[in-house]
Amino acid sequence: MEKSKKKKIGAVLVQGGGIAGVQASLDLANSGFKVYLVENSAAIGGMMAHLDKTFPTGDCATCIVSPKLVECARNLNIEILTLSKLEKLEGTPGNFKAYVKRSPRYIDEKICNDCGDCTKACPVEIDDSYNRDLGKRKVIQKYSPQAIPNKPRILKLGHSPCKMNCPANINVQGYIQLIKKKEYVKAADLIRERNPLAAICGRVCPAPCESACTRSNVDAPLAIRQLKRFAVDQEIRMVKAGELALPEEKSPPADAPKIAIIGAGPAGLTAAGDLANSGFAVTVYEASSSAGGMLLWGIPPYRLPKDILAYEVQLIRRKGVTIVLNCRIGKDKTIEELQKENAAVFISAGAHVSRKLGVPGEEKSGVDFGVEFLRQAGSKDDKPCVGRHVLVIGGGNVAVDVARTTLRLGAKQVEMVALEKRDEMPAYKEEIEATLAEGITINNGCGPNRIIGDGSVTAIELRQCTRVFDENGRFSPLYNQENLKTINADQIIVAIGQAVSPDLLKHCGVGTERGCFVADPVTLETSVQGIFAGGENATGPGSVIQAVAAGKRAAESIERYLNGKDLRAARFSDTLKPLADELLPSTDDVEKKKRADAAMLPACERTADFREIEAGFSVEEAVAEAERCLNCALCSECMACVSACDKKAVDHAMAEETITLNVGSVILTPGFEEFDAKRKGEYGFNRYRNVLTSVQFERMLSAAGPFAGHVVRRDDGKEAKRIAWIQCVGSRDAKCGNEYCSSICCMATTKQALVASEHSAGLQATIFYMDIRAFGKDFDQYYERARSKENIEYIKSIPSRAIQVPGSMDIRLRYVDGNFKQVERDFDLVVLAVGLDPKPNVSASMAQLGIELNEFGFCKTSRFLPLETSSPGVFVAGAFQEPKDIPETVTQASAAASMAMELLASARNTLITKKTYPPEHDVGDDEPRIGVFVCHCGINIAATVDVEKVTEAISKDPHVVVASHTMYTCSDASLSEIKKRIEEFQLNRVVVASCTPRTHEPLFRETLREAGLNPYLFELANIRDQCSWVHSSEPDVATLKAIELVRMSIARARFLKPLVGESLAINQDGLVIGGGLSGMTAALSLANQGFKVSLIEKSGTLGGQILNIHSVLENDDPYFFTANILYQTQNHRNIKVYLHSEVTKVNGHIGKFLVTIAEKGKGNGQGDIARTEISCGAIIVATGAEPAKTGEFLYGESENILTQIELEQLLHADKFKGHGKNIIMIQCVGSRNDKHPYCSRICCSMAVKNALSIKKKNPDANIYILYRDIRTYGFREKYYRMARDAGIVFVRYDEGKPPVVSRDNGLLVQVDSPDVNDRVEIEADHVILSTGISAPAGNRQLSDMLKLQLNADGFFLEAHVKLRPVDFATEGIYLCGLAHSPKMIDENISQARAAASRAATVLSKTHLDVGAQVAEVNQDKCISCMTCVHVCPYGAPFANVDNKGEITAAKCMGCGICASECPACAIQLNHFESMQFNAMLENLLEHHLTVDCNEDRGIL
Amino acid sequence: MSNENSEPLLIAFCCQYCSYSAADLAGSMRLQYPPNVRIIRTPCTGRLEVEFFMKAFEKGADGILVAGCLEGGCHFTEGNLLARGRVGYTRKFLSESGLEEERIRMINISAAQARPLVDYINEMLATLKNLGPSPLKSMNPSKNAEIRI
Repeated sequence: MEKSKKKKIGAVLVQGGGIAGVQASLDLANSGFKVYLVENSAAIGGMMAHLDKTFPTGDCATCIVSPKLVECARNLNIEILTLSKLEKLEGTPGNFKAYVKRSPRYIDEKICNDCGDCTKACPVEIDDSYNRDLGKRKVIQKYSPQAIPNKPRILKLGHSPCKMNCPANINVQGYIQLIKKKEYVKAADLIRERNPLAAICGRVCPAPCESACTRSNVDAPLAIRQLKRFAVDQEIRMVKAGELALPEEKSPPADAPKIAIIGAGPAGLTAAGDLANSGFAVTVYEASSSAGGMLLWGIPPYRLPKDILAYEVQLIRRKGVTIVLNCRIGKDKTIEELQKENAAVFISAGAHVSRKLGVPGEEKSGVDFGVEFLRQAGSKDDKPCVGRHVLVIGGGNVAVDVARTTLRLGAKQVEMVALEKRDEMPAYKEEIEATLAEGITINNGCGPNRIIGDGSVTAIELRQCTRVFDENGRFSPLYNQENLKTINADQIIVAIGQAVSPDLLKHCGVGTERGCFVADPVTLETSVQGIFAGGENATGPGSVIQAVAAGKRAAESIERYLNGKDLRAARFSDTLKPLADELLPSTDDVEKKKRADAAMLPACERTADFREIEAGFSVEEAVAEAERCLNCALCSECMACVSACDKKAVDHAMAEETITLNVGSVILTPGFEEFDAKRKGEYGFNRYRNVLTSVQFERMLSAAGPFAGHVVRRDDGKEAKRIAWIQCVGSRDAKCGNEYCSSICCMATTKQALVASEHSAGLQATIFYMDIRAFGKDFDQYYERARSKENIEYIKSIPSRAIQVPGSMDIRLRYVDGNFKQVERDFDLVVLAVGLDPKPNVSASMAQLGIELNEFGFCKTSRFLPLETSSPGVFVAGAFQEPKDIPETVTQASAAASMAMELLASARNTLITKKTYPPEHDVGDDEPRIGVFVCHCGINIAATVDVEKVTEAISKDPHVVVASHTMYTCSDASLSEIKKRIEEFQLNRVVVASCTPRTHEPLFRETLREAGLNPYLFELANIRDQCSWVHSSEPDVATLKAIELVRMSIARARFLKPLVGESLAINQDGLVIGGGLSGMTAALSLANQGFKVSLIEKSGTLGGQILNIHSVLENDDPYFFTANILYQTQNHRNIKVYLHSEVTKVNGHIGKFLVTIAEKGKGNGQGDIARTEISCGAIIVATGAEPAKTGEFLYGESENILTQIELEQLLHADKFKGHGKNIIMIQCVGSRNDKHPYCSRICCSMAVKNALSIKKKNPDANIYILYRDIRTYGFREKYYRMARDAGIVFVRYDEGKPPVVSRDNGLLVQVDSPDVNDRVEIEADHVILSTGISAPAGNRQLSDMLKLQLNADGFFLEAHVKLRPVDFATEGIYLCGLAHSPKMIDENISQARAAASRAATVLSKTHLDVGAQVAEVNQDKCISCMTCVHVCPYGAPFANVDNKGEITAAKCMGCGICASECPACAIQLNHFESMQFNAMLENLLEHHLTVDCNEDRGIL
Repeated sequence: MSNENSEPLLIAFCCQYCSYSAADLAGSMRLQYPPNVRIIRTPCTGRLEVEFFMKAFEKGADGILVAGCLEGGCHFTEGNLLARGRVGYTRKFLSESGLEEERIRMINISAAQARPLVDYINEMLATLKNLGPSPLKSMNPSKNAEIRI
């Protein structure tokens, strides 16, 4: 194997920004490593940010998680990469190259200031996935209201089918959304970006977009063509009414390259407009007397009014396009001349020559030709004469137009003759229908044989057409000459197709084929360089939109050609990727709505003149039709956000990129996904509106959620009074492939039931469950409270199905009740407690990275190496390792960080950034010179608050030296301006009036530091979040309030003082109390990172309880593991082990503790005690726990009654004699009762483990396990199932009716089980008691010494149950192992490493900056009452040598409780001094402004 | 409107960990409430002294809202409980001095509870409106006559 000697890299990549990733990042960054926090979604926070409350403390999840997220975002050494994913990893542990794919946010995070204007402007509303589709969101929106980074993101999937199917790729979805918002001008502009002939296409386009519309899967496609017409018609109406000016008339720059275009039809006009836009001088040469081509000469005005055409031609002219009329190329001007005068030529002359029939009699008078006829009909004065009985030959659109035109010109009878059958006719369906409606008959399936008449036409002889197209689809008609018929007619108009003028084809000298110019289909290049050809003269007859598309294509080519660019690469249409089918919106649940139809003139009124037949939509019709759009591509690219964003932060052109990062290690914390409840079809999720998932219910409970915390039903708004929860949906269920237990749902449901009951008085909560797994610290007490005190009903039964009660929205559950009867019960809401699934896409990409997964799809680890993946140097934490709750996730995250720290110890502090600042000005006792900067925040403040008035009012304050207002105070330019002002005006205080200090104070403080001012001389007045945003309808009063808020800030600023935190020298040694598994693990982790560690063990040997473990559920070998860890601990050069030792005294604080230990047998005589003083910077408490003692169930009275630990010893020594007989295990002995209300967590697994061991040796053994709830959580569930499969009998008992063990001849166990009708009596050969774990009595003493707290059960109490699970409230002391609570080996290992990781954040520093916002005691005022010592939760105050109170800054957390409690007012909290509060109050109350309505408004 | 029948002035002391954040969230959600409330940020409601409340009333405040974290959720263990005690004391003092005790109230709010906060503000303002202006107000006429709307 190749050994890498490469230098280690002091950076770590953390994949997954949930709470695990955040914790790991913070630990690493705070202990000297650079971190890249890579998160898939748009914000960090993961699942925790979705929660309303957390169990068992009922903390608001947002309250506790937000500060951590903010801290993460502010940390200079954590780079947050959202919308990113680790794709590939190369290299070796310590030196990896990581490839990270970054999806675009389409928002410049540096510029965006979270004003929300874009979100407001966005027309596209979709289901909000953050709220699990319970609410709506815009496609440009923040991930959640309190998201970090607090920037919006645009959700884009690609390009919608309508856009893709449009030859010109018009942004259909975009303009439809703008119409929905009644932004007609913007909609019209958006259409014109891709189609200058918008009003025309709104009338005559065949609308291929509509045939691609996803809505057709629901009811009918959107009326897109009509919507387009509506938008442009609105524009035209506004122009006519003078509400909208036409665009300015432009002319090309004098030196612009010249381009000639032949033909002013749709292709030529489109190309001309685009090229003019690009700054070229374009001249269009048109042979006829007017511009428009076929639009003018071919399409009759009843379909396309002439003024509409003229309007759009005019718009193109105004771009600077010159149109030369009556100029036929080849006659009035030659192609050579064009080539000479111009840099490029585009031929788009169309096909204006009618094809001939080629049958006898065609030369007779009375035979006319379609295109020529229409042209004449379209001319003003020279209208053609029509016969009485007109016959039109042809089945295409021209034929239809001709027929309908003859009718309008006075023909009495009009008939059409078409070779094709009716449904094969090339004319548009609607046109044919209109034709028939107007009374024209169509003779299908026949073609002319000869034209009859003497000189003039009298009739036509038709022959039957048996086939129009050959096998290859080519036009190749066959006739049956036998079947002839004759129709009389006095005029025959032949409209069977158009051809390009042969003269032009010949003249241009360009290659031709089959009567068309040959042009490259992509670039439209011809055989002659510089000449391009497109439209009908290159492709044959087509639709308007195809011609427009050709024009666009030509313009793109010509521009590239003239700029010397590749004509073929990355063409516009090639950059558009169609939406993958699986991304198209689901049409299952879409409500059907009728497609809007435009009104038509009645057929009887149409034929009298050439009036437009079809009417446009009304506003109501258009908006309703637009609302039918399903927004296939999510973002419609309507660009409303771009125009709404004054800061220009939106960038739709951002693209995906892959970046490479050099890192030493990788930590995987991708989290989990909730089980897809649809997979459990029997509960009707997604069919019934009142069946929700637990995550949806969590969002419902959230005050910031879509229901504002109201427990109501979705559709009828009825308050939910009967709610049922169904547990284990997608957990413990082999049928859906999830055999494991998800560990958290029982508690989460209990929490939800409790919180819901708080929200809604009289709520009846019912929980259906298999076992209640309340195995965590203080969980059982929480469950008991819910069960007994809060009246939440727990039913041990899993419903078999849910149906919606007919005629109501209630949900009926069917289940088996306690009397073994099948019953049905109705509920208002049913919540499915969905389990934790590994994320499928994460699992796939993990497999790609070479990370092995276990049988359940989670990361493969072992019980002794819970943090290591199959790939060395890559570590794992959180739910991806095994389902777990928040504290364990946080713990494991810190633990994974410690793994990386060990690996990269030599590279610590090599890549971290430390900012340097100029020296601070000494402001001393100088008079306050205050600068005030008032922010507009775009219009967020300024639209409501008159910022000028505010500035003017506050500038009168005598202490204000300078006051100004800026558009965005947080912009780089404004920050530079502040710095300049500080210098220029020698400011010594700065007040900014803008948004909230929670997000922006750090930024402005930073600016002060950069300008040499102490950061504490800054004050922020919140005139946005707490003024303009919440009083938007009262601008006057809001302005007054803003003035007052700023004044209060100024008043406070006057008394601000520069503060400098103490820099504390750190002792970099660690100390661990307790030499068990946890203590050794923690010590080793620190020692491996290079820290010296003292390990204090009470007994004479290391090992603790691990020495009693002889097997584990899995196949791992505990001996090897234990021996290894003992050896390493005893022989590590950085670890000094003190056996027989106890801590007797602790002094000092974080970074500088002095610990006195007493060592027995170390003095001169036996039993002597030697005292040693050890200095250290951090302490880890790992004092463990002990097996609980019991006297119940006749324990001690028979050698056949054993505890589980005793059984394990006997089994190990092969001395257990119970094989082949009845063995009864009793769970929860001495646990989960009034005396010991907690669950010992390990006993269920231990019983299963020992039972399986017995069964393995002796399959005939009868084993009964008497239990209350089997708590084999996580993957341990598998072994519970194995035990049942092995024939081990599980018998449930209730707490109130415990089993009775009696001794007669042998042992007899009697139990009343709620699951069995009768009392169960078993003669037992052995009774095994699961006695659990108890906290040692010695904890009390140690807790007093270290000033730590214990919980009611005697275990140590961490700083915060959820997010600081291994910290103590006292800084610098950490907790792990059984001393915290009962737990499994792997959990102890994780927690021990977590404690080491937390300790390393202290030990890795030489100096620690202590916060400056600390309390200080005025020694002169102190009356030595020591109130402060009593009230401080952190033990910061102490009595000093003068017996006065003094505060250790290193311990002070800055709450100010002592300052408020001090009876002598001797204590002040820096930065929140009484004087500063009073200044604000006085200023406010003495100068309070009132609204005076009698005065003229607006004098302010 | 003259001073006598103007809208009541409510001072809300908000803990930066919970109710101050909730007030920001109310802004993000554009929840509307009357403008005659002034929010003052505090690191913890445990920092608030009875003297601050007294000072505010003495200078003519009509009412005070003290908004701390949910009970059990204090960032500093039990600062909010101490604050509750001090508010209780102040209420007693007020009623003994002949001022209505309803003029000061302690509430507990989490950072996500923007709507409940707004409801509390509305409730408190309604209470103050019922009580009428603080009698101490007239003893401290505003010194700002020059700015009016």
